Order: sequence, then C-alpha cells, then structure tokens
Amino acid sequence: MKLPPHATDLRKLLGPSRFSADGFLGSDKRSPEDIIHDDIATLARVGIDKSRLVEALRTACAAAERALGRPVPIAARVSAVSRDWRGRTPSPFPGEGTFAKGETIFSNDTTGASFSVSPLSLHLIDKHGFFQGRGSPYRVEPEVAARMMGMLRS
Amino acid sequence: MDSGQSATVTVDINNGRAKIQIRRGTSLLAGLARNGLFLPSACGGNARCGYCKIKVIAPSAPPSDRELPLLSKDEISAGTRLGCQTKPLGDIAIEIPPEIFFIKRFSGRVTRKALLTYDTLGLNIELTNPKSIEFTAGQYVQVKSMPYDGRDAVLRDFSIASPPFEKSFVDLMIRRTKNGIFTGWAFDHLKEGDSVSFSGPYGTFRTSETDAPMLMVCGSTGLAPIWSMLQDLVRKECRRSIRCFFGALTQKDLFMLEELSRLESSLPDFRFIPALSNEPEGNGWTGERGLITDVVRRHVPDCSGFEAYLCGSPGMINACVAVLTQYGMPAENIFFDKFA
Repeated sequence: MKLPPHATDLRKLLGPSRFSADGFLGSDKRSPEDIIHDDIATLARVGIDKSRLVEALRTACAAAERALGRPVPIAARVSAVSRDWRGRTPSPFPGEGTFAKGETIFSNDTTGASFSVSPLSLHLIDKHGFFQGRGSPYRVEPEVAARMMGMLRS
Repeated sequence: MDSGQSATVTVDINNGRAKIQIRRGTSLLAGLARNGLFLPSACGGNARCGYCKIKVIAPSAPPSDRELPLLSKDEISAGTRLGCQTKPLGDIAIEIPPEIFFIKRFSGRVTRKALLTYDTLGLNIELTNPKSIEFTAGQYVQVKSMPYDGRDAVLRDFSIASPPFEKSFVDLMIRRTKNGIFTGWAFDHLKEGDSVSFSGPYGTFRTSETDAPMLMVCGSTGLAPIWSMLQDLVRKECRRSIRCFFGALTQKDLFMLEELSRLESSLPDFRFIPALSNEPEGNGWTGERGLITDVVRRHVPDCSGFEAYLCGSPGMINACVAVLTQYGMPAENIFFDKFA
C-alpha cells in the first residue's frame, strides 16, 4: 500500500489542520507508513482482505444513513448509528476531493466496544490502507472492526 | 517574465458585465477578491474545498490534477475550473454565478448567544460595517472563526435564519460537530459582544413565485433557511398552502416549536408537523412518530401538485427526494439546500 508520492512530509500532512482539528495520527508515534504496514499485517494475520472489510463497512454505513439517526442492527449484538453535519471535508492528500461530514458509530452492546467511521476515514482505508493512528478519533482497529462486522468469530 | 508581456491581464466577467485587471499569474480567487468579487472558499485557495468554481469561457484550458477530483464530468466539459487554481497569463473571459456580484464582506457584533438545544446554538449578529445586508430567504453566509488553542481561523457556511426584511442583523443556527474547529470556537470561545466577520449572501435556495402549495421538510439547523422563508412569507401575506415538517430523533433535538406553531395563526393555510423517529414511548410525546419521509407521506399522500423545500442532512434530503419523486412530484419542483 503506497501513500501519494507527492506527500513528502506525511506527518505534517496528516497532523492537525484547518480541516481536521485533531489530525489523523492521534498520539501514535509510528510513521504513517508503519501504521499502514502494521494494520495490513493484522488483516493478513486474521485472514481478512481489506477490500472485503471496506465493502462491509460501506454497506453498513449506507444502512445506517438510510435509518436517519436510528440505530440499525449490523451483526450479533452490534448496531450502527449515523450522524451527519453540514459541509464537506477534504482528504488530507491534495487532489483526492472532499467528503461529506458525518460518521457512523458502530457499537457492541455487550462488550461496549465501539468505533466510528466517516466518509473520509473510509476513503483513507480504501485508497491507502490507512486506518489512522492510535488516539485519532477515527482510528479503526482492523481486527476489532472485522470482528464487529461479523467477519471473524468472537 | 518576457519584456513584452504586461504585468496585468484583463478578466472579462459574464460577457462584459465587469472587466477587471489582475496581476498576471495571480489566481482568479485572489484577483477577484481584490476587486470586491468574493468567490466562496473554505480552504484559502489550496484546491481542497472546491467552493470557488468558475467557468472559463476563453481561452479554454484543462483542469489540473489537483482540480479533477473536485469537478464532475459535466463541469469539466462545461469549462468549470477552480478559481484558486486558475492563474491567467493572458486576458481571459470567465463566467461566475450572478449572485457573486452582490456578495460583500461584513463585520458584526454578537448581541445574543443562546443554546437552542444541547448541541445547537443560536447567534444574533448585529451588523457594524456595512450596517445592512440584502439577501433572499434561503441564502447563507460564510463566517470566519478566530484562532484559538493553536487552531487556525476557518470559514464555514451557515444559512441565515432571520428574515430578509430585518437588514441590520443576521440570526444563525449552529450545530456542534464532533471535534469541529469552527463549532469549538463558536460554542466555547465566542462571547456576546465579540466581533465577527462574514461574507455573503451565497446560494440559490429560495421560494418560487408560484402559487403552488409548499411542502417544507427540515431537520436540525436545516430549520434556519426554512424559518427565514416562513417569516418572509408571513410578511408578504402569503396565501399558499404550506405544510412544514420538522424531523428529529428525540424531543431534546427539537427547538422553536412555539414560534413555528404560532405561524398557524399568522398564515391562512399553514400546518406545522414536528416528528420524532427515536423518542422512547412514555415520554409524553403526543406528536408524530416515525421517519420523516413516512410522516410526510401520511400527511400528504398526493404531493404531485406541491413544491418541496428541503434543508438538512444529505441522508434526509436523499430520502425525501426519493420518496417525493416516487409519489409523483416532478424533480424540477424539489428545491433543497443539502448540507454537503
């Protein structure tokens, strides 16, 4: 998985900006390349293809959006709720367009585990394999996400 | 620069409506702004937001790689470019939305700041320079925040909630966004008495001049332009039939219910229908329940003769458009301001 070749200063590009108060790296000290490498390795270890995970997340987000804020069941004990706000936010990588502001929150009612996916964060996973740094509001732990989407046994 | 080349180029705007000189190689976004023509922009000219679209009439030039993701195929074939990335080296003819000629920069002072709900703020901004604004109900302004906690000033769009006949102030409704830079400033740092700057008015969302019955559907701060329109319609002694639906999840997401209900006695054929989609039973809510699209269908089973005015989240707008067209409303009668 490669990040855009023109993105020479990735940490700066993925840090806080006028479009993202917290940036995309959180408190993670790893380089963006290492974050991507580690997350793709995690998916490989549990036998999940990234594109399958993205497709499952995309389908679930669409179902939640159709429910207009009401929770929808996604998998056993897992529900998703969609919220959206006015405006669009650009990809941190120039030339990748803008994405609607909003999020879908996935929650496991039993364990309390949850994570959030935004249209932009889904794009970053899909295009770059970038699940964001730990501590970022839209960090997705690949194994947790695959498990909550019902792609792995709990 | 070649010695024979002029330092400035001429920009012909909207077939001679205006002709301005800008520095050769300057972006149209910056060059037009120096001449009092303010294209909307949220990214400061970095090809990130895609707001500053213009149409290049001549000479034609293909958009750059940075522009392509922000332009649709139709826009590209029509000659649309980003003003921030179009840096003419010679004379150029362009087209901009006519309303850009009326956009001004304003300074104002916050005279009232109050929570409308737990996550929605109402702002009243008295204009100080210039002291009055001309706009059409449904339009929006672009407000600039101030830097705070290491965060840069940013620009964000907000529909005007006050009516056009109130020219000395604007009312805005602002919903807090998760980790929002602007809304963090507006909710946690902005105080009554503070100065605020904004530009506008922008947008083409407005009521038609027909007599067709109106179906208004909004959610959250999508109420802002609808409230502006309704106050304007009262002032104009409108006699059109109006059904106004305000969708929310729970009671705590609703606001201005009394003001809206009062319009039933100010307008001859107006009904206000708030509807909740996720209110627990037993909480005393006696109004409508269900998805807003289902509630609209229950109240207006045949909407074919109506015009629709929609403002809210993309999900709500998409769902409403799908339902309304399915039930016979011509697409050209559906007007909306999608929050995206």
